[in-house]
Amino acid sequence: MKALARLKRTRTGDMFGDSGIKWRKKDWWKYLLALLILAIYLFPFYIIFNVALRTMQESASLLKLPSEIYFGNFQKVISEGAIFNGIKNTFIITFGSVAVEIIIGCMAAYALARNQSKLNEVVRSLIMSVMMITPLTILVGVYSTMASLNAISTYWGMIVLQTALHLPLVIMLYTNFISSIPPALDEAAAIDGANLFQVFWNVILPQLKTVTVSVIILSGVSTWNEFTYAYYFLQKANMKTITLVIQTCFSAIMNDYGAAAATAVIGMLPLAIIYLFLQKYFIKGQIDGAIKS
Amino acid sequence: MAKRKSRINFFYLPAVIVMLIFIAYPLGRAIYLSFFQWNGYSSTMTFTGLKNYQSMMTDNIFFVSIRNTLIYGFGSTLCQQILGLAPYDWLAHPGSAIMLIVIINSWQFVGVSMVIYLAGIQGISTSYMEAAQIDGANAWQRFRYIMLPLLMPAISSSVIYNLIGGLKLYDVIISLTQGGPGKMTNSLATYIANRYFDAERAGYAAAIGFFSFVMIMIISTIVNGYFRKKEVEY
Repeated sequence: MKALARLKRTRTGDMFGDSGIKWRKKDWWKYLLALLILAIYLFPFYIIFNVALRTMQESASLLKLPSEIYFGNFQKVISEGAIFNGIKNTFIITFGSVAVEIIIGCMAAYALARNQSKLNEVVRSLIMSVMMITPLTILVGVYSTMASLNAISTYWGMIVLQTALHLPLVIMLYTNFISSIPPALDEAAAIDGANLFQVFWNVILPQLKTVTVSVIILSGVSTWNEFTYAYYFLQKANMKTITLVIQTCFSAIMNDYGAAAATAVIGMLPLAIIYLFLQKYFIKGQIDGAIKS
Repeated sequence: MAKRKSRINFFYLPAVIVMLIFIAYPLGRAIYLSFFQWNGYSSTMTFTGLKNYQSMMTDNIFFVSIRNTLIYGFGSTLCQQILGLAPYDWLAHPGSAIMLIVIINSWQFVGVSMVIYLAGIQGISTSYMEAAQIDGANAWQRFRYIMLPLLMPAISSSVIYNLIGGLKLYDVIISLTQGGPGKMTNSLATYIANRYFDAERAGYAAAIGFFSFVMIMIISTIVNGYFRKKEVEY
């Protein structure tokens, strides 16, 4: 949270030409508003911790703390161990697909942003139209593709599928960003004898740091929490991702909300840690920009 | 130079190949299925031509789903500041359940917009703002005439992303209401699942899927065109 506050202050400082980082009295309402928004955002987390730390028999309202803090849900989930295998699977799939998306996504965006021919306008709008497909529409077709490639219940199959689904968003973000880099930079490098790949590698790539952090966060979070496709294509018990492990707490016989909440809490920790780590790069990217200009 | 320009297209080949195999082929197959009557698992399918599309016209829940899809899409995109939740059984009434779904979906995706805006703001060189300040522009004018136009690409990305996400809304509805009470909170996405798995009408589900794809495409093309006109070159 400290990092966020610092980020906010440096940003206003930069954008509006004020110097120094100081508490300004006339801005009190901004801090109040921020606190209010923060409270709204933290409320669901309060509820989920509250459910995870109470017994099934607890009668106190969900808004109040349970009469006795109960660690049984966490003990049960940890001793069963399915969640750790789930985190491993989710991590491999998320890391793999985000890495592939970044590589082939920014390559594609480079071509689409720099060569705006009629053909590429068509390619671009076809790629964007993929975002508009509701997942279940193409389920049957995806299933037969995956089955014929022996990709069901494999890491690589899920990684490539997630990549295909997220590429439109990744390409959109990169294309918008690369379009804002002056083409004169490319031309100068070309005159100096750089080939297309060298221009891409030496001129374009170094500028993509901040937008890449957005891509990692947007695409990473949505892969981490993906449920629909994981449900159909990760059928083996040892391939289950976190969302599928949570689902096993709900059955026709009994809904174990406590275990589900405890699993969810453990399952979101790695993501929260990665996010805090990435946030530093937001600030860093910004300072780099300030120094350059 | 022209040759160089067309050779650059090789850079998008990997992305296009992956999407042809995993998206274009399955979509083609879904469109093909929409002309058949099929229960989703048996090996026999009956060709019925446009019958699935005709049944949509007489299906009330289909129209309810369209209405809800539009509310989820535009409502979530616009709605940002609904604060209090009254002590009232929101999920028992279709009207309030729809509103609750919109609020929860907005809650989930405001963060995404923030990330996109943050990247956009950081991409704007501070020299523009400084130049404007030297020319005597106040904070509001600097925001309105310098930052906002330069931020347009980020705004359009964020609006389009949220709009499409809202129009495709599925998981929040399934976990909150499963489309009920009385199927009145279904979106097109959940209605597709309902027809496919519960009613075992895979062909009809595919037809609705194709319809929703076309509908979302038309809406986002219009919105995208609106924002494109507002973007500036620099």
